[in-house]
Amino acid sequence: MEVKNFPEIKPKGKTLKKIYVAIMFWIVGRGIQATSRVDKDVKKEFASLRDDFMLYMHVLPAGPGMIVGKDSTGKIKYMGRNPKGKKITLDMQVKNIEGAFLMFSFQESTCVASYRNRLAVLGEVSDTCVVVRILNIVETYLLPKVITSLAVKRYPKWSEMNPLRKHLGRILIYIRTFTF
Amino acid sequence: MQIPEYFEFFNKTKLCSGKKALENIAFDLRSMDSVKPLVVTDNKSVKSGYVKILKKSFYDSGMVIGAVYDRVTDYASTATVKELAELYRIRGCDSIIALGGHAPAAVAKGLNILVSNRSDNLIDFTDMSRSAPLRPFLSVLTSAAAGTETSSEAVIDARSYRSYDLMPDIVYIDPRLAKKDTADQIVNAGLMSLTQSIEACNLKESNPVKDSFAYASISALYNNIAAAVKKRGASKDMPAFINGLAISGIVRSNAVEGLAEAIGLETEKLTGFSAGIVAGIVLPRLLEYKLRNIKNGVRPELLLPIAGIDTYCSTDENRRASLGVELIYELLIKLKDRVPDNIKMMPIPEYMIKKIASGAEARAGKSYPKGTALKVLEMAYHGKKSSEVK
Amino acid sequence: MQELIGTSNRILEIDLSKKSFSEYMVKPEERQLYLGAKGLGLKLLYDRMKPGVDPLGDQNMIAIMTGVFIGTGAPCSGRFAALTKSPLTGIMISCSCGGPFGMALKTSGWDGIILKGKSEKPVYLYVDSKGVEFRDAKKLWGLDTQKAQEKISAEGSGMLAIGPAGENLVRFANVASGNRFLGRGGMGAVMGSKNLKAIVARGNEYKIVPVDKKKFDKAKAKATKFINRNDVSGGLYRSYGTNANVNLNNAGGLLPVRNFTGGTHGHAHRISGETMAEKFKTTYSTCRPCTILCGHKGNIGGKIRQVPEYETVGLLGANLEIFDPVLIADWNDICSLMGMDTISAGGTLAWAMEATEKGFVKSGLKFGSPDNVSKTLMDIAHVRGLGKDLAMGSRYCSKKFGGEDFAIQVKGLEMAAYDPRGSFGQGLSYAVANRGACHLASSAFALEVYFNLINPYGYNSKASMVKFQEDIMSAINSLQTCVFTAFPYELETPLMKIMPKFVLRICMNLMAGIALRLVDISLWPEFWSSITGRKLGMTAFLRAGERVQVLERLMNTREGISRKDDTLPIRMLTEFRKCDDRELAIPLEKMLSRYYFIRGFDKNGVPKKRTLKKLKIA
Repeated sequence: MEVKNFPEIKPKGKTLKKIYVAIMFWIVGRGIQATSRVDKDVKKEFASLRDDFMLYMHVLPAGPGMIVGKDSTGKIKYMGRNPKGKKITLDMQVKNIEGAFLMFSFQESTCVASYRNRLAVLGEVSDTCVVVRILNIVETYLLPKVITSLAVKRYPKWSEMNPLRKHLGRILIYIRTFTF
Repeated sequence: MQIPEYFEFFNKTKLCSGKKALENIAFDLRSMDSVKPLVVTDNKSVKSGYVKILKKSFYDSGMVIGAVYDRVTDYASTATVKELAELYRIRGCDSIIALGGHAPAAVAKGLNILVSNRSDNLIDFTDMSRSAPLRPFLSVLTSAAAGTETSSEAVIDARSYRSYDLMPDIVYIDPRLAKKDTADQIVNAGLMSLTQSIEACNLKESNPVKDSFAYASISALYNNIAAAVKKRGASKDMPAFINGLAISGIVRSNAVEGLAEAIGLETEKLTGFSAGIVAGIVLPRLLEYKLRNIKNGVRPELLLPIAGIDTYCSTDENRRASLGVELIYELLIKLKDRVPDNIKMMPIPEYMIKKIASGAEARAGKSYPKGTALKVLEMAYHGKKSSEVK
Repeated sequence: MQELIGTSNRILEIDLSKKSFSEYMVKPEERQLYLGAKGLGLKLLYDRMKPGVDPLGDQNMIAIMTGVFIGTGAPCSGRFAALTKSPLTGIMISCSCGGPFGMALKTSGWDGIILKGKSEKPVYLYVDSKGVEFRDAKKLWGLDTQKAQEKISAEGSGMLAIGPAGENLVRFANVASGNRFLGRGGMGAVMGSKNLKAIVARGNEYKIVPVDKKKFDKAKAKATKFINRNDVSGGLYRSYGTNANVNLNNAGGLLPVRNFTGGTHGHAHRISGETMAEKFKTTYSTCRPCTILCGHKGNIGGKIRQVPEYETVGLLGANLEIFDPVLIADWNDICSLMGMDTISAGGTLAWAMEATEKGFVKSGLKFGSPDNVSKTLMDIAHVRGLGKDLAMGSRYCSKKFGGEDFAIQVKGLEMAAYDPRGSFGQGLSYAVANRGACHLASSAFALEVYFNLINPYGYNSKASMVKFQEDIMSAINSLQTCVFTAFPYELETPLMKIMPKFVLRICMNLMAGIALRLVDISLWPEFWSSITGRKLGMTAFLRAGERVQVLERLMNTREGISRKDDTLPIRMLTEFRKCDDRELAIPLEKMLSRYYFIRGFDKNGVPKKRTLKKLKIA
């Protein structure tokens, strides 16, 4: 048997999917920051979290990610992609780029993704549920109903989020996300 | 459900089944402290494109595959295992992935024994109690699965190596690897596994855990085997069918050999014909025989996984067992393109029946009255049902 | 001496259990359809034996048939056939042998013997024109084949005897007739199971005269001319014996080396016919009468003895990586005296050597080393120690100990000394041959490698070529004459001599089915019809061969043979040797499907009813 007949296989990268997921992370991160200023429900959710809450959501092993957390004044900020020098209290790891792609192309909602074990979470489980609720609301604002109903478990009813609030919030959040 | 006075059940296999299941391999390996797997597969998987899909699933995982060995043949031999052990050591691998059906899985288990014990002599380990703990072993099931991949036994060069340790740590079933295979292979594997699962939950010594696994496997196999043979492409039936095979392997490791299974294996040993098809023809006749001659020979609960809860509830309690057996006959009729009506048509000469019956009874006939194997085989030989024979 | 015109048509049916005998007259239709020897013997057994009998039980029968040629003085006619159910393979086996027994039986006025039952005590038979006498074999039991024959040589002009291997039911024991053997399949064990040590025929009571003497003499003159003119029969085999094949096979990658892991070897010339002829100063020692003269004897290692045939040299020599002809001759002698088939013995020893290497058994045998080989052969003959398992054949051993992928056998019969990876047509032939991995079923390697008429690595024409060759060989074995006459009778005819070789090659490669019909095979049926006085044309002759082949296949399928048994050892299908630089896999499945189609079998390999009706097989 010639050993050279069976070479080592160094896997290549999934560049396009990585770029897409990285962009989506940026949008969602900035979106969370914007929504925390605009929407009162989200403000309440965040208030219930600890003072040094820092969420690091990323793709294993070395994929794109985002960090969202409370700064020294208690405001929610999108803190970029690099976890160095920050104290992470909730580490949500997406096991592989395919899982992240499924989540962010809305083929699987966040709930379904965690039920299917696509995520591994280091930190408090209760914090995870809060984060998922926040993500749901953010996605309701950012995306049209058609896509959001795929992404969230339960699209908020008319009574919970009336159209005026939704559309006004949407405009504000878009401005805040894509500008400063 | 009765809990017996004493029982044991062991399963260490994690099942990971569904869309994009393969992408989890890298993460799972890392959590088992492994960084360089060796992939063991055969030429068939290469031709079907499965190896390419597996390689692609490793993209962006940061994990290097030590090597992909694709020269495993249908016959699992010690020579192949030794070659693999050499490759494993040279590349410095630390885990094994078996991709494919029966032979790659058996060879991978043998390889695991050799490298975990740093030995060159597989024969020393026919008694597996001398073996050291084994390296991480993952099994990726494809459409060529036979049901033996998840079991605790590896048959290499006519020797059987048995240990719970040999069961894979994780089993992956991904719809991308479930394209249609040759129909004969599907029917053979499906009928063999179905026979094993049904016999496993119909023994006198039964426990509730084994029963639940067996019912799950029976349900998955029974409801999907006919469609898996007919339909093209990766429909829902094929992955469901493979799930059934995987679960039956776990059941097989926790149950003794049943009589129909023994008859199938003896026939294969003596004549070379597929064990699964023979076991499938014999099974309903054996069950009928049990119904008539042994008290509580066939459990009425058998009907539940086969027919579903509606039929189960609407059938009279006394009729449940016999309806279950009738439905198995119906399955054989559905598969009549691949399964002959009787053993005579295979063709197997009549004088072989006695030899097969005596061999099977020696293997697995202890819990039956003497002569059962021969009576049942004769019925199966002529294609008669028990009700037609006096 | 009385004159016997044509053939006697008398078959002696002997019942060993009851110690009685009766006479059976061959019917004219049987003679016309099955010709004699192998064909007729097969038909007689088919009518008398049920499927499923135990080969070593008393229900098994042996048919020893002489055919119509022997005794007439036709060239190379000193051969007779024997058939039974083999204990090695479990299916029908037919053998052909060139010793003195055939002539003795024929000139005692019998066309064949059918043995059934089992004798209580060891017995030997004395046959003359009046019938048979059952004589006590106590003084013969335990003697080797030559001593046993010597002891009864005074009673008749030809003998058959088994050695200790046959007495001990070694599954590949053979039957000796002079220093020639009914080699394959364990016929010796069947005789041993019936407690039959030997048969001696008085002989010299009749003179066999052909019905049409003038036609016979004309055919004989033509045949002798062809034989003397042909390169192989008149040149190669006459000068160097069958070992002339060694150099040819070494060049073509057909030589079995180290249990068929190699196809050529640098030392092969040491055991070639040319070297042996020179070294041992060989002279002729052949069947009588013979015009080809392929058998030789010489001074080997100080003793005057028979030069081993090619199969022995291949399987007890190259296959074990031994290239010393003296050692091979020693082991050949052990097998001859003990009464064992050298092909199966060599194949089983090679399996044992590789299994020892891999740790499956402990035999003390090693490739390239002569240590323990003689001892193991004797252990096999006396079924002691590991010899008890090895005596059952390599298929049984590999199933028991492991190593099925390097047990080189098909249907249980060990493969002969031609590696199919150098000749794909031979691969198909091994897979479908009725008795197992037999090289004489169609000898495809000759057409592909020796004469270079068909591309050895292709797939075209293989099935038609194998079918034609099989039919011809079966027909020749039903006459009976030596199959080596195929070389001169087929190749020396005018059409073959004028046709330029490249035209022949193109025809054979592209349309073998048609090209083979144009081969002139008239010499054999001419002989047969001149001896029996019955009409037989070329088509009917070939059709008779086909009939015999399909009947044999039918009897085998009744024992359970089907497509799954028509295969090659795993090593041949999956491993490549150093000399296979193109690494082409044998396309067995395709060739097999095509073969079944042209033979008229269904896809399982069972003869269709339509085929049986067309060939007038009941």
